[in-house]
Amino acid sequence: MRPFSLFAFFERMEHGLAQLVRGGLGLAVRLMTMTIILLALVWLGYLFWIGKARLNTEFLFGFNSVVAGKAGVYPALMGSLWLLLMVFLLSFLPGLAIAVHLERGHTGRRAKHFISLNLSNLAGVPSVVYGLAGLELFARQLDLGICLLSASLTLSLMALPTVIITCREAIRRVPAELEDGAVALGATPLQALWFQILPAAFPGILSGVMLSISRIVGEAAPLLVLGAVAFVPYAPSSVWDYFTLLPVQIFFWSNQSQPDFAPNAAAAVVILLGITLIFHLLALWIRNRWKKRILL
Amino acid sequence: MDPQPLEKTNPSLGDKISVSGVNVWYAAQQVLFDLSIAIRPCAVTAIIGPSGCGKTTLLRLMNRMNDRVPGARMTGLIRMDGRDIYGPEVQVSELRKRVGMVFQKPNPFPGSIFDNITFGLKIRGMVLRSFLDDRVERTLRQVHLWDEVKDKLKTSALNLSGGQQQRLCLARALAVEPSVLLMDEPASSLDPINTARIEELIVQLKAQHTIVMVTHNMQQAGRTSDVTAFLHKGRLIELADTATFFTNPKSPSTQDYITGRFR
Repeated sequence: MRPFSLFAFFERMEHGLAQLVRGGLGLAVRLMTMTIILLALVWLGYLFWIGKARLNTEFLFGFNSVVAGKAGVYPALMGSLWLLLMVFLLSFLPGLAIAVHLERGHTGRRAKHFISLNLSNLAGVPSVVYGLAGLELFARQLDLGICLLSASLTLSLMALPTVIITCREAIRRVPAELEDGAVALGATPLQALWFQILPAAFPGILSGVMLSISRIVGEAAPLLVLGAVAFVPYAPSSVWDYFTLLPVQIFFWSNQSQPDFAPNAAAAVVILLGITLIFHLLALWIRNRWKKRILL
Repeated sequence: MDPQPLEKTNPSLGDKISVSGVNVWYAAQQVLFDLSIAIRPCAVTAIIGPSGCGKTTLLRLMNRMNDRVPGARMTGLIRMDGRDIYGPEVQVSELRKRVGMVFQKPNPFPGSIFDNITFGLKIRGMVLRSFLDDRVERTLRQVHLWDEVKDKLKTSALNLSGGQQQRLCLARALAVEPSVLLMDEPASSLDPINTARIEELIVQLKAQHTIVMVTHNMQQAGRTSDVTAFLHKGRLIELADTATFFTNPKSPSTQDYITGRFR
């Protein structure tokens, strides 16, 4: 008998695996995938079915009410859209600037390592902790009160680590030859960064930012702590206003004892998913247009 | 005015670039040892030598691209047109505007052919459209790329073939009219036909530009250069007119290298 060889073992294993795939394993995996997708679609269809009575403009543009059939989602919808915009504004530019500084600035190796470590830790901190921190820091210490601004600042803080990490990754993926080429032509580091590196990294930056922000907008926990209220009779008109948000509204409606509110919750979920979908499609569209500009 | 005192204070006048007594370290490892070399204006100087002998490092000293290597340290003096290019008053980006560079691997910017060539001009504040159009056509004709790409100037440079991309990178460097052109094995990623084209171009370009070229290809050095320098283990072994260099080398190790008996 020949001595055991890892090379031969891998070869036999791969061969066996290929046979298994041919002999039905591939089919099984595909079936499983299809089942999962199907389940998701069924669940979405179920939500539609439950909420279909409420999926109309009256619900979309109506204000909240204690009567389930009259309650609308408008304040929560506007609150979520406001928050989306604010978090984008507050986390995108600072996050990108910090990422650029970490990647291209003169940060020492040890400091960089220390910061990276803390960033990954911060990205993993539970959202409710951010909520508490935001409540204390923004609402109380800085005396901003319970308002859209405190919420936006808190969620931006929460989005920032992920935004920085993904932006760094995108900038790092730009080949060094590109910067060499620009600098060799006499471009200053800032010119090289602005005219060559950032445009090349833009698709990656955009996906990263969109991904982290759309996740943030679905959060309910930190905002419950921060004092998002279930019943707001008006849509926010400035960042100093009280606010409610779709996830919070869904949470409260699904907790109501009367079953009449279930369709409301289902319809609101559909709307929330719709917003996320539109957001992602928008990002995809911008990214493709940008790539086309580069690759024509 | 008497030119004599100037001659005395500046013995390198007449050379385009003079490198004197240069040592370079990467971290603790020394890669260039007390190296001195004079680069003749409007001529092609080829730097040859085995891998790791420091020829690329020497080239990258001349436009200070080595400043960008972390841990790189250098002593010695490099003058261009009599001025110390590592002097405190020298702005690196200004220096690099006068010393163009073509890299080993073509590195076009992700963008249109037109944008590739005009980038160097735009960062110098030259944005007049008619001027840019003229310059793009002129430099593309110079590198014999115009006929191939004149109808697709607005399409991506990344769609060009490797040889076309390298000629585009050369055109990009030429567009800003540098007085010195540094080339780091400009033909190493090209097929024989494109290599021949690039070599032809190099010979034509020396009329207006001082060219320093690193190559590991001795035939290429023989075909295109006027002066050849042989580097070995970070030291300049021999520097001579190309004809003399290849037919009558003085140093035995040069002889070994060019006859392929090197180890």
